[in-house]
Amino acid sequence: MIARVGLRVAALGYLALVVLGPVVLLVARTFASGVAPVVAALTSPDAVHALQVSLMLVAVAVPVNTVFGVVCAFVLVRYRPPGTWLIAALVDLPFAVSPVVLGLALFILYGRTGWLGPLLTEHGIDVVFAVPGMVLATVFVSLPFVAGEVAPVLEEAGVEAEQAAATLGASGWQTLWRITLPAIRWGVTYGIVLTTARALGEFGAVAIVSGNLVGQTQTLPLFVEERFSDFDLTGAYAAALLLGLLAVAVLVVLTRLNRRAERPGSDHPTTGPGGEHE
Amino acid sequence: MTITATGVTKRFGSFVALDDVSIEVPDRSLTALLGPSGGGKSTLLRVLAGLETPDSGQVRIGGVDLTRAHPRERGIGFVFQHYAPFTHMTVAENIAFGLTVRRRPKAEVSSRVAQLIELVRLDGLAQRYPAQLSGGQRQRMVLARALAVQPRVLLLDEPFGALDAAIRAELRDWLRRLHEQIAVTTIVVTHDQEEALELADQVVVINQGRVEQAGTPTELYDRPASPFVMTFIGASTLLHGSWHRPHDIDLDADGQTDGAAGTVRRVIALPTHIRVDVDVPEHTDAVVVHLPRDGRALSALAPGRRVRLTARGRSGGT
Repeated sequence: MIARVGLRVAALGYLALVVLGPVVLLVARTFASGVAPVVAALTSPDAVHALQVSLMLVAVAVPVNTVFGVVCAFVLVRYRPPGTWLIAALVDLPFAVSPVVLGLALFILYGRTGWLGPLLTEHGIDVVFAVPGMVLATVFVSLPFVAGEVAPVLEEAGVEAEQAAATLGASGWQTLWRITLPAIRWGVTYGIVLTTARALGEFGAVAIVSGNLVGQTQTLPLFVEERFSDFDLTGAYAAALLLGLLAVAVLVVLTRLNRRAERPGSDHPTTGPGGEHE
Repeated sequence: MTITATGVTKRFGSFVALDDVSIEVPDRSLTALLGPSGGGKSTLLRVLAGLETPDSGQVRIGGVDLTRAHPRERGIGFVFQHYAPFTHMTVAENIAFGLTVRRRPKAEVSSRVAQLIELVRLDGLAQRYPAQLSGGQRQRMVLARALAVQPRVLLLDEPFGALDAAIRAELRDWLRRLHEQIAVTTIVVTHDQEEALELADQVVVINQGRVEQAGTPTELYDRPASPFVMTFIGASTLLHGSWHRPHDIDLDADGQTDGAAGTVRRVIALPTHIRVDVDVPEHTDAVVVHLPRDGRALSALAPGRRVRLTARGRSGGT
């Protein structure tokens, strides 16, 4: 009993110290001089533009990585082609590589003096210090989440329900939409939440390839850093809080959507007392 | 529909799951594929369903070669060992699945579903989810789901394997009656010889990827084609290198005849017969004899008594 209470206190205390404390402090500091400065900071043209850039990156990276992640999980779990381990390792690579390293790699490849940069510039395409580079960086750093969440769920779901659907006359598409996707729905949801959070929050890689041009290639995290460096603490705190709230909003909205689609007992089979017997 | 498999061979890597297997399942029969686990019976069922493609050989349903046909083109209903329910759908939606993917009119679907729910006795459970059902109810739900599309052939893989003994016996009788009612050619895979003998008109014994014997339950019991069938189906005992049914051995309690001499080890009175274990020299295991249950044998036989054993009638070879 004492041990259990002790464990609980330790766990909650640790959470409070590491997660809750900083967030509460951030909120408190943001509104230290009232709501008006916060609104002013967030409605400034630079802040609005930074938010737009960030949302644009999310709008590209999330769908791309969701489709890729689901397909990739299918290939890894269902088809197991030769070199599966290599594909799995490559998908996980963005976890292992520091975003700054990635930013530099993109710079070497696409920069003014890079391998591909001059060729692309000739055709009027700028990658570095422009949107394409930022999209590439964001897609890369948020790549592993959907595949990583979906693969184990797919493994767990197995193939029998799909085979049953086939014997009942369902086509490949019907099986995918009616059986497989509903089965992996939660995996996809959490994958999307994590991808969104990562794409919104990415700093290191984007900082290098964007050039951080205010009002052009500045994302919300870069805006926070710039405000902070300029001693505009209210602006920095307000934008940081907005970032946090956006991530929470995505989590809440997706969970809600899923709850609505979910029916009782569908994803968390519970066998009540005597449930195995008539 | 008559189902035939001819010379079917299926390998998984170096493991030969089916080795030149041929079977013929008569129209409207209830046939059991019986054998030990890993013997190939489930693989054969999956080949018939199109869930596995054989390396060689042919599968015909109703005379048409369907060896390479997709499962959905075979007109089969398949019931999986672990049911494979659609967990995110209600009982009614599960049963309706085969009809909704065929885009049948709503009215037809709902009347057919109602009919099937009654047939499999799931009345009042239409809006439940599979997780809210017992094992036996889940089993009947997937059976109704398979029947909804009016298959020409019903294939069941260890349908009662995951249920406890009492429910098994009940569902077995029910399936037998259901089969009489709907008369669709049915194949049941089972490792339980009692289940196979009680359920099926025809039993195909499969072991190590080959057909050991096919026939009616009586044929298999009375005229086993190999020691394997002899020992796998019903009780059997080894006397002088031949297998016999324990009730086919005469026991002479006075030791007068010239049968094999032995000593009674123990006598067990069972509800249906008396079992006598007899130690015979040069036999590793005791020879088992079943005697009819009449007080006489019991009083005369006691451990240590010298008796003589004579095998009567057929034996199952060596």
